[in-house]
Amino acid sequence: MVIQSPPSRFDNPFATCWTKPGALPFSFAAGENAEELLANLAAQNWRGAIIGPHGSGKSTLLETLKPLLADAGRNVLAIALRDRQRRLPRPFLDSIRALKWRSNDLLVIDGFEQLGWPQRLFLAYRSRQKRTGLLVTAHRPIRLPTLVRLNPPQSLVTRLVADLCTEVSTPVTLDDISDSYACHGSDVREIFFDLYDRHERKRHAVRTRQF
Amino acid sequence: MQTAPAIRILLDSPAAHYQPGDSLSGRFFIEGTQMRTVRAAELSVVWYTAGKGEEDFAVHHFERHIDDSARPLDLRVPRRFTTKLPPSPLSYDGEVVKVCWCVRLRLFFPQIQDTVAEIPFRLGSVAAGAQVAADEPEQLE
Repeated sequence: MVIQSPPSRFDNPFATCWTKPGALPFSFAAGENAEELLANLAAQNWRGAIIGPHGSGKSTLLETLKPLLADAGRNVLAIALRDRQRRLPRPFLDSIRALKWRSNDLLVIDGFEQLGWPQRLFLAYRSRQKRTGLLVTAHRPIRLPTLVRLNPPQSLVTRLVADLCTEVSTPVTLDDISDSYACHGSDVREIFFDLYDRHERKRHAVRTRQF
Repeated sequence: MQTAPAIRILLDSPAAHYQPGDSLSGRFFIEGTQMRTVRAAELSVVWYTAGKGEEDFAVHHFERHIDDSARPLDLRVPRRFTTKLPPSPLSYDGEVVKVCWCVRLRLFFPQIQDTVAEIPFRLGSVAAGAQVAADEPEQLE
């Protein structure tokens, strides 16, 4: 009889709990760092956009920047829009209405381009008029200064996988990573999903042979 | 500078396999002979889901031990815990989602960051995804 260990999050290094924004720190390209990005944002009167395709690390970068923005004296009001949300949710709108629109306020909107144009226009116009900061993520350049463009190379994905596998071993190989990158390009989120499946398939194949 | 101590959680049943309604019991302590100042210790028995999608989490049992002058929290001396396990959710080791149970201990130190240790256990006897597949008769084309 094969005695199995109880299921645990440590069984798969690509599970959401390890890869979601905030769990895995953002990995900067060579020569870039959070302080430099913050300095660039400040130079643009705290208005800027993080641009990149799906799964390229925009939300993860925002999660990394948020505490630094607070340390820099910004009063951050943040929201992440998901699943084609065309409108800001009511509680967030109420928070915006209650805002004093001071110069140290900073609206942070993840998935800005999902909003309908009236709300995008309102936020862009109002924040510029009141000199309030506006930091957003989008897939394509918009009418805000581009703070950074993300397009993770395969070497970065390999480094991220190595970071994830420091405590949890995986049967996933470098060939798997190359193959996955060839399929999904710079969509790191999809690559992690794919590697999660490959890890499970290989692990369960071993178990099935044991039974 | 202080380093993180070696925390031990031991279940009374080494197999770490329980059925609904069973009593889960064990003890926790810090290894070593030197007294470590701990502000508080939080022990919880929790279940969570792990996989590719949304995560779920619930606390089944929680206890907090606080250091005070009348009763110093000396974790060199093992502390016992016990709880009766619920009917569900049962542990499940699927490919898409896993339902996981564990005993988790968080220690709060005065100068270093909180330290967390956990030990997984199995509730119920639901077969793993791979085992179900292996047990199924082969389909004829």
